[in-house]
Amino acid sequence: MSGFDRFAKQIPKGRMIFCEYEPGHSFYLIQKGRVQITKVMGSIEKAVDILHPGELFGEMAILEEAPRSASAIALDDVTLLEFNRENFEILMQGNPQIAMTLLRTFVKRIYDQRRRFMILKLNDVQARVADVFLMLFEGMDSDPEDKRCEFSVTSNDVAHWAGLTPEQVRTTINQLANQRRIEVYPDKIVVTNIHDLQRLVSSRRREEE
Amino acid sequence: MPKPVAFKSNSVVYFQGDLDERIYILKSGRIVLRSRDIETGQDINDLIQTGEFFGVKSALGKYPREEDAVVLADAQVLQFTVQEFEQVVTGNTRIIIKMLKVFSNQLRRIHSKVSSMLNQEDQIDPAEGLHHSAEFYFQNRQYEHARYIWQRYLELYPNGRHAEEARKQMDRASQSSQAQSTRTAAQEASQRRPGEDLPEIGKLYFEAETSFANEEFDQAISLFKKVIDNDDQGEYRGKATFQLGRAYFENENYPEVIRHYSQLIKDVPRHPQMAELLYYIGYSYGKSGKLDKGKAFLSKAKASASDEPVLRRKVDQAMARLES
Repeated sequence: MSGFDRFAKQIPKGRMIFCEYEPGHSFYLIQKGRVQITKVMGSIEKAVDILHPGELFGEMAILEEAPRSASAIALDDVTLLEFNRENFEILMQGNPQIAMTLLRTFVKRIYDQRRRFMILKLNDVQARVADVFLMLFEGMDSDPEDKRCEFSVTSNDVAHWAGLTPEQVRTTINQLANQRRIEVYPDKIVVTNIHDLQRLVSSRRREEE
Repeated sequence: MPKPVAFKSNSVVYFQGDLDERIYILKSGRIVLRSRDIETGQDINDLIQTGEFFGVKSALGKYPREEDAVVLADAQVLQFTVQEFEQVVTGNTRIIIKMLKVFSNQLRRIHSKVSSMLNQEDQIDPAEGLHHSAEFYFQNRQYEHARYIWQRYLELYPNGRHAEEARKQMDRASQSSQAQSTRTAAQEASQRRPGEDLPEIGKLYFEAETSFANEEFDQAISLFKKVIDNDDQGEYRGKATFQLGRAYFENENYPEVIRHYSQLIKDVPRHPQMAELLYYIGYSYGKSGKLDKGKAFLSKAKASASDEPVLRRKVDQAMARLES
């Protein structure tokens, strides 16, 4: 790795590495220390994740001019390997393991984006909201036999995923709650029978095709 | 070793929806990947070139196949496991770079499709977003963050709506930041820091992580336990449960590592960090003098760590120590 020191970046503890909404041109591999990923939502700062050495972040920067979707802050004195268009091939050639990590990251992102596209393609608002829960369910390590599933999400989170307004989502969630398909609590939403939502989404998807 | 396999014309290598982690390379013959465009529903037929890999994405991502692979004319293929594939491509980075380019193009395309479908009103203007974030950090006395963001704002939008305010606020933030940094360390400790505005449980997790990083493992153990007991929403419970085991491990409390992680595997049989869990259990058995059990767990760890070279090296080292 020493040959790549010129691409290494030292960030002192507490310093912001990049901010949500600024355009991204580089992505980073953590070599030392931890990085906190946060988002400012209204008047609170939400910690999205804490990343450790060996993990990549900011890789969506390969999408031209896409604004950063969250901020990154050094939680310790941090050493990062900084990748950009110019040094990308040099760094990859010397580090097949990093290239492999990136390949896996891209594969996952492509899948996630395709999944989100499938949600957005649904015209029926109720099916869209239901499909967000299915997507979250697929990402969980739950027993496929379990029908009842808890999601610690708010209607704003669901709105973000479904590409709907929070009002639309709140109305739909109330409908689903009236139909006893879900239960709404201050801090979570419980789907009473996830298979029921699966049926709902696949029949709507067939109708719309 | 990659395995040569022959397919007859009109047979199928795999179907859409199949879950299977094999990767193929076409040696001879004709194979087509058939799928439907997720946007238009039109049929897509991608003919595989001789020497080309296929089945890579779903195998690496462990998700269902997204297309049918149909044999048009008698074909010879080489079949790889993910581990074999990785060995081959890491020996020839050019292949990975080529794939990265293909995948990043695909990612860019699907990303722009998703963006165009999202309601535009849903998207916050980046300039406004930056301004809002800077104000947030300023009000929360995180002056360095505020200064950084306003500086970026001015670089990006020198004539922006908030440029004048940004200039003024940047100066104020710099002054406040200097004043803040001259305070004593004790005062600093009580200052706001990232995580301050988290719900209580988030703060607690943050504290636990900080103790862990400062190698105060007893403290970290007690805090991670608190998180697990009090995290009603379950947002931090998974991470805390994993980190608790690591804290036991760093504290050299090996029986506790074995007990804690064995329970975790029982509770979450498809834990995303399974290889690491098995490694810690194996290592701990070794340290407790149960060499055979240690070796058995380490071999399992190695088998599960096909895509984690760093961990695999650690497993090898631990195994070598056990054998000596």
